[in-house]
Amino acid sequence: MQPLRALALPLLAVLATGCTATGSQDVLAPAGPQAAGIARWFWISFWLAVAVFVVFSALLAVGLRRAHGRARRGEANELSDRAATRLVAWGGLVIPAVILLVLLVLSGVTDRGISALGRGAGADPLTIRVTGHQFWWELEYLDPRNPHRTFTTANELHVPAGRPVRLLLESADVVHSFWVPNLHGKTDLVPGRTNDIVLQADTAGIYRGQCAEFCGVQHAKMAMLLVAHPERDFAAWWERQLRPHAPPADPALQRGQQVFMGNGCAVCHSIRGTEARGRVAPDLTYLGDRLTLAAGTLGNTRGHLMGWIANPQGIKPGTRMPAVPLGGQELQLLADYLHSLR
Amino acid sequence: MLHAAVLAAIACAAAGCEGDLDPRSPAHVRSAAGGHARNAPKLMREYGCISCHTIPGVRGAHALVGPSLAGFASRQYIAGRVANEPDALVRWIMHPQSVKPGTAMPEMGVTGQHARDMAAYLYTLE
Repeated sequence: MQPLRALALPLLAVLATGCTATGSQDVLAPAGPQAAGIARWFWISFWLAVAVFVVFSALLAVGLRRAHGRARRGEANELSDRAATRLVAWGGLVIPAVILLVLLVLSGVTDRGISALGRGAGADPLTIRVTGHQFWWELEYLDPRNPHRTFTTANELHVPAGRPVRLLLESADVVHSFWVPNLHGKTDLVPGRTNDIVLQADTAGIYRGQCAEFCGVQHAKMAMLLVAHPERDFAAWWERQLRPHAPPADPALQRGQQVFMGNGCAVCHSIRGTEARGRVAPDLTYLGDRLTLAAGTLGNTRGHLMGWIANPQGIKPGTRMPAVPLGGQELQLLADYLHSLR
Repeated sequence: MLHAAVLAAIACAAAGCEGDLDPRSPAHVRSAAGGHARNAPKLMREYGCISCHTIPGVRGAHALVGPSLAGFASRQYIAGRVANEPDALVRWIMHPQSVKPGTAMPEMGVTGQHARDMAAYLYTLE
């Protein structure tokens, strides 16, 4: 994952500026067929609306000019009955009906196109269960043919580029909404129900998304990064995720692990290869590889990690993670250990 | 009216002159640190300073893990350990553990130029 890590800081700097010039989170910069269909529908509707606006502005201008002219000549400013009826019939009934029909058909065609893309994914596409939590994303990568090859991570969604991926959208608490604007529209995660979408990233890259349904006090800081890999890199990534960690050899990292285990972190978090099997907080098994922390809120640097652990409530007030009092040295060791998980 | 304006202008100029004579004035110290303060806010967000410190003028920096850096330029000590001078500050930012072993501030791999840029910014916080 070296090239990705090298990209991390400058990329995050760009993402942090929310700069739409780069196309990040830009609905009108589609990077996959579903988003392309939606964008196409948008542009057609937009230009239709512009045309209507231009025509009616022109009518208004003509009407004003005529009214002015007639007033000057002392004539009555009225259309004949026939002219008025024709104007209302065409301009108020026929043409709007046609335009609305066009928009309706367009909408239906776009929707069916997206569904067809979903069906075209085949009987057995790569499937990932996305469970929304307050305020993070649990990601379970499913391999129906080999259940022992299933694993769970959090917040950073990795997919292969160039092929469809099916997402099962569920919620552990309240309604959230999954939205990666470059790739698809918004789809809610509703407790008690599984929603189902198929999306595809045409080219490798990093696409930012965020929760799109108000879910509580830190809704605004519940983002995710969707990382699309070339096919072979994705297979390698999957293999790596399956590998549980061996106990650290370095004594400093061992002490860091002891800080983790001894301060309650394992009650909520999981690290494959250790006794930490908590299910209510993000999996940390390969935290060292991730680009961001706290659901896209912070860059994954030592400074941010320690600031987060020392006082999560200071960064995301209302997050479920408590502050655990740690000495300066313990905090260092813990951060070193967590960053070693790569 | 004109009189008052001219007097005010002279007074302002005089105050400016006074600042330049002081060897610890911001401009002098900035050049001593050799950094560009305007780069600092972005660097502070990238390295993660904002996750522990409250820093005036830096978006998102309102944390309470480490001390607030408001008024940093007027402080006598860094971390209650060394005198507040440009070289010491740059060294602190790059290697806090070597200045105060066991402190909660981590080694963050800050490069020399980045440390000088951030030091220059901190010296604008009167």
